[in-house]
Amino acid sequence: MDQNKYPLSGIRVLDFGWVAAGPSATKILADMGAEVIKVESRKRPDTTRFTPDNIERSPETDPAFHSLNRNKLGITIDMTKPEGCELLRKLAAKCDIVLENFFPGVMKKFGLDYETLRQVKPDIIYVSMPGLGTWGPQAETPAYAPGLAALSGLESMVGYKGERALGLQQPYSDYNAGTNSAFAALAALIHRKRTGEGQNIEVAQIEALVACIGEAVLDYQVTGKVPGLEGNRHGRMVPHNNYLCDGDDKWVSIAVKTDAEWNNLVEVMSDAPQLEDKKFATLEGRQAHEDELNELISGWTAGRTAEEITEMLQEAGVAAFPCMDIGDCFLDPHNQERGVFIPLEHPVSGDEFIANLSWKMSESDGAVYRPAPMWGQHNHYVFGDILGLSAEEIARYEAAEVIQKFQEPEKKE
Amino acid sequence: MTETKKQPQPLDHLKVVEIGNNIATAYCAKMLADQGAEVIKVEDPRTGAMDRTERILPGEEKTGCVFAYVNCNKLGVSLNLETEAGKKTLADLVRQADILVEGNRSSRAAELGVDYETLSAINPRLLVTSITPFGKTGPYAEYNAYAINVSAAGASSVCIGEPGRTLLPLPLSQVHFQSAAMAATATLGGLLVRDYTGRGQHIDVSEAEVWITHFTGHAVIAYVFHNRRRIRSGHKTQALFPNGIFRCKDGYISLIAMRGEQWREFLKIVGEGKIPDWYANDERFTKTSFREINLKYGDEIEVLLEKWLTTKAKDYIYEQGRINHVALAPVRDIREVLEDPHLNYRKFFVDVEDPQFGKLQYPQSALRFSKTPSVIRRPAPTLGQHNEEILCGRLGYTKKELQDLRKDGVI
Repeated sequence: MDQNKYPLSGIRVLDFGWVAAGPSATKILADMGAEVIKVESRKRPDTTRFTPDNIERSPETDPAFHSLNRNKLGITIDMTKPEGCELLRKLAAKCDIVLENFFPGVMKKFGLDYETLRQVKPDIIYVSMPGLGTWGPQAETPAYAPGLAALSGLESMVGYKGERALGLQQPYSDYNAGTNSAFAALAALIHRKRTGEGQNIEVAQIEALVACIGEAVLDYQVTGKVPGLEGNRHGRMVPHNNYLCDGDDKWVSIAVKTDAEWNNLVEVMSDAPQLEDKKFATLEGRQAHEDELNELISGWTAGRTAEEITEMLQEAGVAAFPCMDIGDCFLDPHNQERGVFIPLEHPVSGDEFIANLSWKMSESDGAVYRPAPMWGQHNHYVFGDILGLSAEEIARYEAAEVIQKFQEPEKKE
Repeated sequence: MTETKKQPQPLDHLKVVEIGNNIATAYCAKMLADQGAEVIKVEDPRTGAMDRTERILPGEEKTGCVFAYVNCNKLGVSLNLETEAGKKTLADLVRQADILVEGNRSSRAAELGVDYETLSAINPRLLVTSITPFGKTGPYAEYNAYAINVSAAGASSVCIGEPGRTLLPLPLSQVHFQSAAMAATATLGGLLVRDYTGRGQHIDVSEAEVWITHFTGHAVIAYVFHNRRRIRSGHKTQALFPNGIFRCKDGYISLIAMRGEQWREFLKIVGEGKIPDWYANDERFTKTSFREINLKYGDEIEVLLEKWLTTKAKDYIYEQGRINHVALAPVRDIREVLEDPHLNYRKFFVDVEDPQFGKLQYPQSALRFSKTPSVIRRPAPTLGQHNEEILCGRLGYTKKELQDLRKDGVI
């Protein structure tokens, strides 16, 4: 990769991110060309090295880890040893951005908090991503993504109408906080460029989630009604649902906003003439007869594939799309044409496919160019070339188990 | 509300034009506005921006709350881009701008003159950020899609709901907000590139792609080569460890135990100080690793847990979790969120006086900058509110020209 032409060329990030939230933020920075140094410890492995999708159960074979940490350099260091933290402070002095998502107080305990690091690097940009914030009465609450989604109100709106709350069942908070934190780091970099001033940024994941349901917060104040479970219903669109299609558990999403779209749908579904009934002609009418209408549309979709339904409806300008899983996304011709997944060779796992950048820029957008680091793979480069330690000094730290020595893992058969 | 005193903000040197299309473009521009950028929202004078009427009740023609939320901190100009005069005025705005955010399919963008080719000819330094359901290229580029369709395309709906029943989409505007945040981030990347090339560029963001690449597609290898399909599993995640939403006395609590000791601590809360007998005396449970307990006996254990959970209120259980360091959290509804003591202590909600709704508490920016705090400076604009201020004050149009534009229905 020509590192000189990307948005963050020349920017170095000390990345204490772990699990998914922190790594998803620094993934964005690394994709934009920043030199991201991922700090790890063999004593307390990043849980993302061992997700359920890691079938081989080696720390070097987790596909999610490989995706979240591509492009990054990896060091392994024992932060419970004072010399380890001292080395990290020296490293921070050579960085532009520090990012962490530990429990509140952990970085202070290690002497790696903003107040300490600004002593060694006055214009450092420091991003923290605590679940509930670093201050406030409930800051010290154990919180993972599902609990944060519950606290934010999001989970209370996911479920079938009139039934129990189901929740999103995906780590939404992690990735939401990741994008927000990457945005914040870039804004702070722009501010530093203009003024020379660094700063401390706190992105409390709970606040980043509530910001995603701001309209519901306002709606409640205006109407006095607490939003509940609506299933697939939408206040302004009918139909608005996922319908069972031909195949094994295959569904198609269909949504109609305008009467013109409705008329087009009726024409496409002409062998379901009951849809032509005038009572469905207006939004009010469709709302009053939504269950009946869903039945009729389900009857029509049942014998057809989600793909052919999508093609027929889109041809008529009606919003429809198959409900895809990641395997479907991988095989999808549109995604293939846009290069949504790209091959990348990992030294242990071999050839893999990795999710590509989340944007396309016409001139210089960044790249996926380096596989995720093996445990301590870049110790010598980072502590030698960046920090300037001699080979003897590094060997001494390795002997004292401050720097945890890189061990070449066995290559997968 | 009067504009509060200006404090330094990271983006307060930037001018943004937003072609008001939808919630995604609006939220992207809001993120820039919240960090100080001057955003001029351009709306069709005949209909207003599409996001004005999102999520309002049928029969109502007023502006909805989502518009009020995603458009605060912006100025509003009305401009009919289907007229030549409208296109000329837009060109005048674009000449002074750093960024333009739009959300039209390619064919429509060309009709309105907001395609990259046209805009970069007017101002080569301009960054154009486009947010569309499937991006500007590829077989689905012209597809029509709403949030529920993007949720389907992004491999998200497939994870939500109960087995055998219909899939559910991500709630409210999550699909749009996430693509907006990614687009805003990429836009700042584009600005940094411009600093050394002197040129703008086109940033093409596909909403479905943001979901696939950032949220759901990390373990694609497991799906494609090992056939590990992630499917919806109701209120409990299909995961190796206990993770789900359980009934309690006054609602639901969310539990996740990622390590064995957290599971044991949770059981001790349920047993009020010790592992409950029904668990301790059952060898099937005690001889199964906590990682597998959810897969093997999840349903049975849930029934047994609920005997205790349904006698306790969610805030009591939350407090017990906090004391014993177990990740337990109440499933809050919106009223409870607004009244949350922690969020209120942190002054997360701030009063904004909206011309239509009056004073409401808005969530402020979640990004807490120590040196450049974000503020809500003004409520969302009414349609064409700043026409005179921008066209006469900024672009130097005369009062007569303004009147003519108004008369011709351009503004």
